[in-house]
Amino acid sequence: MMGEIKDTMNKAMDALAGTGGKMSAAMTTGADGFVQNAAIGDLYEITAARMALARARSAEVRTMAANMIKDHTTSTHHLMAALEMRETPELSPLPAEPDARRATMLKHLDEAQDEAFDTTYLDQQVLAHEETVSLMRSYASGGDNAQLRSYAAGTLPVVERHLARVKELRGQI
Amino acid sequence: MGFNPLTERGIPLERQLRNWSELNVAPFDPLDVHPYTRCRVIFMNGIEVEAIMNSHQFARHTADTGIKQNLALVRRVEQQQQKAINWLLPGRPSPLETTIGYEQVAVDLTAWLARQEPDPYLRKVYEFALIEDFDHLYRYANLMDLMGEGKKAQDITGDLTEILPGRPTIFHHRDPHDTLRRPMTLTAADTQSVMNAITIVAAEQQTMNFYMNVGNIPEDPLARALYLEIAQVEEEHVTHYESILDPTMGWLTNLVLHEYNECWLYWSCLQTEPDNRIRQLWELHLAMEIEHLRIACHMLREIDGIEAESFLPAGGMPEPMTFEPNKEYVRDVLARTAHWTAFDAQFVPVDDLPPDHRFFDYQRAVNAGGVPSEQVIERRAADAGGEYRSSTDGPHPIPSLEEDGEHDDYAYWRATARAREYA
Repeated sequence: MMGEIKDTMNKAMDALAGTGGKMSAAMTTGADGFVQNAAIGDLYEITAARMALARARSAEVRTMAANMIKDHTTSTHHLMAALEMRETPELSPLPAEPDARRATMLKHLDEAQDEAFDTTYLDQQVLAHEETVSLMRSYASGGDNAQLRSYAAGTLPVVERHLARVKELRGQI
Repeated sequence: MGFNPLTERGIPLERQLRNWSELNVAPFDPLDVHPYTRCRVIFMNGIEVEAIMNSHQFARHTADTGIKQNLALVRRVEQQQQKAINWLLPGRPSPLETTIGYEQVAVDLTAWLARQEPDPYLRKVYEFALIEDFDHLYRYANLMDLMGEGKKAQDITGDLTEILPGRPTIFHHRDPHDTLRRPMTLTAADTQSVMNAITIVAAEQQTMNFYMNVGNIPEDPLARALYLEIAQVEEEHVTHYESILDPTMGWLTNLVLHEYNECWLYWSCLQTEPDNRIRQLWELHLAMEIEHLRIACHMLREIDGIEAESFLPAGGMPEPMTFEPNKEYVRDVLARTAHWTAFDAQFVPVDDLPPDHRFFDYQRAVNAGGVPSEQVIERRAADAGGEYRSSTDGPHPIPSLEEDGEHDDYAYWRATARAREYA
């Protein structure tokens, strides 16, 4: 019973934090803020997907998690390549750790009871991908660096497909 | 101020058509031609083929009859230019001799572009594939020697380009996801970067097409096998290079850049060509291309409302592209990067890949049952007591790739052995 209450409270906190993240993402048009946010999003996705590969009961969720690792590794590599280019001078290096908000989400995922893990993961995935879609869309249209706008425009359709798939799976579980 | 084709006057389009005998030019003498004249002829044929195919692709993606008419007119002339250039190649040399010329183009063109490339990431892109084409030259040179054609590869390349192992061809075979690079943007990239990329895509595409079509001409099974293996790598290279182009530019902008690129390259050939007769052809084609560029710029202004001057440099063209020896540079790239592989858009030491990486899965799939690029060296060594190499500047920069080196010490062999143990 205590575990269920904690899961519910964690989900509510994630939802609240996710809404804040989405609003902040929609206003990100500066290169440094965009790079940091995009990189942290990838870090969160890859870490959460590794947990899902180990703990998810649904084979479809595990398949989705494997794709998340692959696609968000690709997006990190593209971001690293973009930062090596002359088109993106003097930006801060990519972060090695997620920020406090995404670290809290990962902690909540880790704390989820086994029977609630799949839904917790998928609920977080909806929030995280809504934030990433918002980030990529706003930067692609109004960002201040051409190379990073190109990166955002290339990444946006991939994360939009992720979001659609996550919502579809969540509807089934 | 460099040469600016936007301010020059070319030959009016209606005066550009040539008759059959004008196009059926006398071929150069293969025993007398300068290796880099052969390179320019092969290279500019590839540039014209790209101009034609790009125009066809554009025509298939527009409903505008006026654009289609202009494309058809200019394309017919581009076709004539391609014939006049490619018919300079004599019929006598075998496809294998021409192949050696193709690989010399690949090495010395890519090295020059890499040296001029102002963007550090894009320079890595060129350096990465440079030492793979360098290795293809070495594999084909060994094949040529085995085929008993009575000629050595060095007779074709001169002493201008060394013939040594690069990153071994067996390790060029990668998962397709790992051949995609980060694109530049037309807005922020240097004009030199844009010209370099359009140039290399055309050249690699020509090589891919050539091997796709002549690879089945030899009767010897090993020769056929080597061509098909390297033809697959050339497809990887086209994917690798085309992925650095800005994918968001409009068709007319792309057309203007192609015409500008042709102007740059004919002007470059004109600066460096020692053969008077061929230099006149470069000059004639430059005058034609200036008019093609004017027509493309006019369509861009009229239809898209964009002035070409808004993205082309006011100060004129980059430095002329030059075929010249790059031996020291190639050796330096080999020493620094022969152990690199690709993971998505990033270049990393092969030792950094986990043993379950998709690179090793792909290697296992395609290399099972023997690898022609290894077999050709083994057969040359067995038949002639050693490999065919042409070195002018000392021993190989990587000791494990010397003929009698400890091959197992090379990073790729170590990494694949580790992955085999893991599997």
